[in-house]
Amino acid sequence: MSKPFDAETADNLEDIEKQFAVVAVEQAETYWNILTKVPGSKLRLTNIDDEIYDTFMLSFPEYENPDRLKTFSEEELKTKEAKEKWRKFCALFEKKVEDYNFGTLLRTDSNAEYGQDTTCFVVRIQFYAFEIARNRHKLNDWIVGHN
Amino acid sequence: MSAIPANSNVTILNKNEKKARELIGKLGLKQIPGIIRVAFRKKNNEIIAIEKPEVYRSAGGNYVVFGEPKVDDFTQKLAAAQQQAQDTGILPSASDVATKSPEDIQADMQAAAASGPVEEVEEEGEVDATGLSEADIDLVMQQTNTTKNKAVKALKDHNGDIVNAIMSLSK
Repeated sequence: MSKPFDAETADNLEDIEKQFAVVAVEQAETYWNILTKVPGSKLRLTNIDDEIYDTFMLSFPEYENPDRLKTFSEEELKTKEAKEKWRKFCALFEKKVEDYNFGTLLRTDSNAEYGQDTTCFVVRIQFYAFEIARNRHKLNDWIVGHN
Repeated sequence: MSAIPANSNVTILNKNEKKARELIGKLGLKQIPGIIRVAFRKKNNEIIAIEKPEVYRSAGGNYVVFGEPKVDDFTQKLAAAQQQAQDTGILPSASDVATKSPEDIQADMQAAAASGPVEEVEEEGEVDATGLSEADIDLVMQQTNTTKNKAVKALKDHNGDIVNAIMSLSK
């Protein structure tokens, strides 16, 4: 270890990888707890919710349809074209959103809790895009009072 | 392998290290205070040491060490120290060199670790909450059972991001 630490060439240490998962789960739990107390439609996630929402709708007009927001499949985010579009989307918020590229859990169905089959792994800005849009369509309001 | 030679005093904080620090900093690793030196001894007795390192420990017992590794030429240092001692006329006695047994050192480190980081001093009075919504502050306070000042500070630190603010307070 005489070289300065270089993130690009550093090995992935399993234990550190797990630590990222721990943070993702904490984030999911925290978000869920908030939704049980405050209706999503009244919730603000970031300082630039409007900007994220508008850009999301502009870049991905297909999600103007609330049904597409409600449930989506992991595959539709991971096609070659979708990945390219998302990459551009992410870049727009690189400087504006804290942890924009942090691994984050996102429910594939807004009518379900975080569960083994109803959760997929995305980056934080994708989480914001979907959850802000879901909250605006009141798709998460059912969670209030739920445990 | 290009190590920074002994006695040099340069600071390299390249972009990658900065990024890595940020990422690792968010993992909730526990900083271990009181460590003043981490040394790697290689087969040929060459010592690469990091003075005043920042040492973090993960729950699984792995360590992340930040700092400037330098080749520590012990013999050279010793010679310099002896020279200096002779010049000033106080030669260190053998007992000075090794007054601490490993047990003592361990006890010292434990004591340092136990004392923990200094509690943040609560700021007096109302903090400036401009730009934050009252509802957000209340929500953060409810979720974390903290004072208004702490909630405001966390929200500011995280640019109004409620989830991140709550997470930072519940660690």
